Amino acid sequence: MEVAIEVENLTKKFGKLLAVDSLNLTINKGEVFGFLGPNGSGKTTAIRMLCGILEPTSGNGMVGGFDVMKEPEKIKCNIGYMSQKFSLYTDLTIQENLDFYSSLYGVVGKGARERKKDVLELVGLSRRVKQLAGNLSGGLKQRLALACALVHRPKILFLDEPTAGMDPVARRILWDLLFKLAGEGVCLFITTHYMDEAERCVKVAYVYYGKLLLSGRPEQMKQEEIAKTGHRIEVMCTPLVKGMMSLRGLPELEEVTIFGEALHVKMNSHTVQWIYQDHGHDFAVAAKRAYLMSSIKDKLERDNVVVRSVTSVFPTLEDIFVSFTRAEDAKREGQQIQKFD
Amino acid sequence: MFKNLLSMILKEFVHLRRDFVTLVLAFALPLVEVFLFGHGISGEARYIPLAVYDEDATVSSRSLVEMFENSSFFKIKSYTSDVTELHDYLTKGEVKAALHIPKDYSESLAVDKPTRVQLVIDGINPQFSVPAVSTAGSIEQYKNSEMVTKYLPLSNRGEPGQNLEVAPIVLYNPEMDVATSNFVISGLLALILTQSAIVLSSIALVRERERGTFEQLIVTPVGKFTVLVGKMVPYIVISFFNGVFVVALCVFYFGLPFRGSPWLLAAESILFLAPVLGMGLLISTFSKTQLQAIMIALFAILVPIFTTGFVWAFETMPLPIQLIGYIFPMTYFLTICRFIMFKGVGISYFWQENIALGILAVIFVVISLLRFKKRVD
Repeated sequence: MEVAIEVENLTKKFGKLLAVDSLNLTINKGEVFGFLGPNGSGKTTAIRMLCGILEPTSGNGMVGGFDVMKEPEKIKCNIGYMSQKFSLYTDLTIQENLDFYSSLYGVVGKGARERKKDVLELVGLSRRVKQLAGNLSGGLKQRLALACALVHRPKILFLDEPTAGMDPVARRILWDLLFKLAGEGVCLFITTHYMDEAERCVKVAYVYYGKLLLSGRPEQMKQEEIAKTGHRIEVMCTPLVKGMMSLRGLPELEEVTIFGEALHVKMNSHTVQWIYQDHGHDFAVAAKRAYLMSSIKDKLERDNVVVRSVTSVFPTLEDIFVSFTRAEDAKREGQQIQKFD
Repeated sequence: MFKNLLSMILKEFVHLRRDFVTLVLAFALPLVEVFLFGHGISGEARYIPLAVYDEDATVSSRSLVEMFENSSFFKIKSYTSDVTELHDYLTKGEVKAALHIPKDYSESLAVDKPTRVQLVIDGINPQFSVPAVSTAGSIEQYKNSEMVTKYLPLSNRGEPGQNLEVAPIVLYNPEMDVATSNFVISGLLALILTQSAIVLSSIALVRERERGTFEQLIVTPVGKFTVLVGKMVPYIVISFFNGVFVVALCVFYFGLPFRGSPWLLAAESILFLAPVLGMGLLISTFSKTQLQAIMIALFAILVPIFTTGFVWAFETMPLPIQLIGYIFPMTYFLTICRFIMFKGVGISYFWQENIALGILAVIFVVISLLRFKKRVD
């Protein structure tokens, strides 16, 4: 596997604020990398440093084979970047925007016309070339931005919340496009808030307060999460809220939340210990889990809630991120208290 | 690189074409201003720089020179003992008036014979030439009556004498047209060029920042120089056409003389635009919003009006004001265009001004380049 992006201890400080704290990442060619985190967690700052438009405070790394600290201009030749906000010229037409950017990237001469036609075809804007960019819908604007970011055949494509504010159909179209590009060997670095988008990535990383809390392949993360906190239990019941209140009274559980039409249940650490670790035998684990599930059902029925099903499911990425965020918050609070002592 | 630059320039032109209101304003405002200024301004100067050639060099001739100095309209800048040098001072613009006292001055007066003192006045700026002529007249009158009481025997005293004649000659602008002050109108070219160039260029960069297009622009490998120069060229073109309109109005509507080469003035205008646009770009690198940029640009237009000799002659201003004037390209360009229009002289008379403009252009563009980073903050 060829490495596309590799950074070590990449750090950015704005005055006293630590926007990105010692970021370590390795992303291979052709991978779809999801960069996740709440608002203000430093995602955009990190992406800007990787693109060479924001100077890191410290750290080192390579993007597309060039040094982040020393060769930002060389990096720029090999990457495409789509910023969070639409940042093409609204008073220029689709064709004019594309012509301008292709020329800045040095895509000129014979192949240029062909290439521009191809990218317009790819994003489905061939028939609107004379339309002003400002008059396009959100989804089409993003597709134009993608076309401009792709015109020079970059090896790495950075997309900062490309689907924010898009309708579901437009989102689907854009993601299909992105997977097509990944199939052609382009490395995609995507930030997003949407968990369903995160699940589509080959690799994800989660940042919180500028710090990388975890990274890896979603499947692997889920296995590790199960080892630590067990499976989640999904309960279909009516009425939902009453069910939630009822289960919150059960001492074996740590968390009960509504997830669509079901309750999503996380057990507490004692229960996890009891089920998974005391006797590591598969049969024993399954039996203990079944016991817990039946006690959940009993409790609900005692409280006059109609239970349709109780199943054991894998934790979602959201579950994992939430539990890591909680742990980090607890750690930070602890530090605060220590400071006051 | 060239292809990059070309598309940068073309892109700026497209912006201008789509922004019709700005484009109209860019051309219409200067014309309105020419009319307003042309019909409204006149002023008066003091301490006109004077060169003196006192061939007589006697107590009596020196007292005449003193009178000029004490009038507070003149300030003696240099003495010479050579007619050609005296003339040189005037053509080079180092002084605005030259006084020549003939060799037989005191002798003629002593024997009650007429004598003629020559005052040559540079008429480009009527604020100088008008008071200079009238002061010469008063001095002549005063000296004549003084001579009656001083030199002539009591018996002959009666009416004031007529022996001394201070003859003023006004060069370059003999009509001394004050009503439509040629002096101010001749400076309009400098003002209009400054105005259209600095306002348009000062928002050039900051507009990209404010619209959020800056980030996408700097994530490309395009060079800093290409961005800055590409943004300047369209404004050079627009400002240049404005300049042509202004000069045409000055000559054909206000009837200003145009004695020099129009091609030279065109070339000098473009040279002048370089530091002005550089200044605009510098403003653009400092500003966070377009509004901010325009406020600073406004300042950069107003200050030179008062400090560069646009309305009041530069030479008569106090030193601190002159020092401020030196950093504005307009100071030098005003001299250049007045020399070309009124004196009809060539580049050899204002090469220092050309060098000054060149230096300012380099300074402003280099600082802009240093300040302009392909980074977001």
